[in-house]
Amino acid sequence: MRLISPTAILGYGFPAESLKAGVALAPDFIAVDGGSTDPGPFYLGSGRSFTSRMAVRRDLELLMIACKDLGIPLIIGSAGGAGGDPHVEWCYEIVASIAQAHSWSLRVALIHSEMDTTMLEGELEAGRIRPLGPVPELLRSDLQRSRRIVGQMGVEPIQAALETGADIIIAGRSCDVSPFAAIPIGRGLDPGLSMHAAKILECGAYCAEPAGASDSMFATIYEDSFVLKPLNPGRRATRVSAAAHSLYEQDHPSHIIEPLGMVDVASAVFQEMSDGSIRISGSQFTPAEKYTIKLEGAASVGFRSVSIGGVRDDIAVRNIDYTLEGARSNAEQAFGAPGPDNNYRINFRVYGRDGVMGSREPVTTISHEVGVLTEVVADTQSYADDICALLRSSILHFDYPDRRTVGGSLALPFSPHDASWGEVFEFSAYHLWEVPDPLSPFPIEERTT
Amino acid sequence: MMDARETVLVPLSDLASVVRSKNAGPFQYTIDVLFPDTARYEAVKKSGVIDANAVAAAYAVPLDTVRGVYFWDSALALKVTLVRDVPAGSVGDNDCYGAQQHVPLMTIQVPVGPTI
Repeated sequence: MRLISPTAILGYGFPAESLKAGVALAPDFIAVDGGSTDPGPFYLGSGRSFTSRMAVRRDLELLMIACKDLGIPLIIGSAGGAGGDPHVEWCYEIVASIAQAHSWSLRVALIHSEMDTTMLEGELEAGRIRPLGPVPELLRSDLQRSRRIVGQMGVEPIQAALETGADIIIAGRSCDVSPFAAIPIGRGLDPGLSMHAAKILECGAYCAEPAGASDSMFATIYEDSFVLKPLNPGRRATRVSAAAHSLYEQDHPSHIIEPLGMVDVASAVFQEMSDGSIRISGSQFTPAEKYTIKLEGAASVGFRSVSIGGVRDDIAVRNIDYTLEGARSNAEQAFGAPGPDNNYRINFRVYGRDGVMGSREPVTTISHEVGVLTEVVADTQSYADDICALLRSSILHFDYPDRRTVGGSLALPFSPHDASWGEVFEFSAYHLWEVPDPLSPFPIEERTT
Repeated sequence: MMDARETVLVPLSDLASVVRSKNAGPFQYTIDVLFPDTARYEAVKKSGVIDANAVAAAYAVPLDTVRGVYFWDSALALKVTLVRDVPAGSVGDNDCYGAQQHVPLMTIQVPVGPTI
């Protein structure tokens, strides 16, 4: 079974030459990961894509041309980034627009992964939803307050969608491996090898040396091994780079846990070949006792307003905490203390001291200048904006001990000084659901362009 | 037998070729430290100074915040996984991708012999 992984995320781009080189090797399909939860809960909650339409369109057009020429399927996982219904629809619109531009009539299968929260409440009642990692138990109220919940589909819905004869599969939220492993496992190839290969492939050529997230990888999956080949002749897959990639974004170095079961790559054998490719064998698969899928949910927690300014005067820098506390008191005086009926939160980040690590920063020295990032999250955009404006003007004029620079304590780079940053989401669910079967949570919808 | 007077203390960052700090899901971040050769990897592994207690001390967090410290020979890699202070992208998070949380780990001092 031969396949191309063109890039780490649809929209990240790839050299056209790399795709061309892959096409010449006669792949059986092309698969690409459309997104992840990495960029945070905003994209899932809001329904927006985190890759740009222009970038996704560029990538998709090249991939669709290649697949049409070869007569092979194109599989997109976690379409639109977060894989909810609006994201899948967004991706379909781009596919349809490209098909129209080329006058192609294509069969497209959409696989939905948004879950009905009332249905999930019943599942929670029945004890079939449990935490995944260091998170608290899911509450009914978490389900009710979620704007959107998706489940990560395994390989089965993609296999079923292919059986409809679709040219292109636009799958909602999927496990990273699903788009790449669906066909190999469906053809009877070893699940351990298929999923190990898929785990490395889903990042494009990121596992090669030099690493390339915006470049392509070719894979051939055999009965007893798989071979990975970077499609750019400037990159090589080495024993160390391939082995190290299995660790990427995993909390454990060798366990890959998927709905079908666990792949342990600890016993994998890596054999470098002379042409820059690598043969991997020995990945061990253990089937899961119960088929579970990951649920991801996002809930709105308000609206954010932001202001940024620099401080360069040494006395002002030394007294920055005093000033920020004073600004906070001013806000409480003007707007009332925050509480359940007066919901707002203020955060200050002092870059040049501990803006990146916060309370985990071990270094106690402070730089000659600091960047103060003021953030307010409140129930409405206008309330957040009002509080942020008051904080910013307080910091600008606050009287701290030994102040000399009475002209102003902040170097504000912009006019206007504050930005309405938009709606804020948090993850409301990150739990495992024991599903009745791998297919019914993920309905398939067939369309023709 | 190594002469103890010939060992020096170097920060872990002097021995690593690649450091990847990244989220492992929204509630944990994981730091992969890759070494350029077996000698450096083995020196760190055999020194025994990188363990959960050392990591907890470097980050000033309780021990159970450190979810795992792994040495993986085939990748010449050290992996350290910690629970995040707040979930990724939540209000109060400073680092959505968890990409810049590696420095305290990299400052841990490792005793190495003269050949390193």
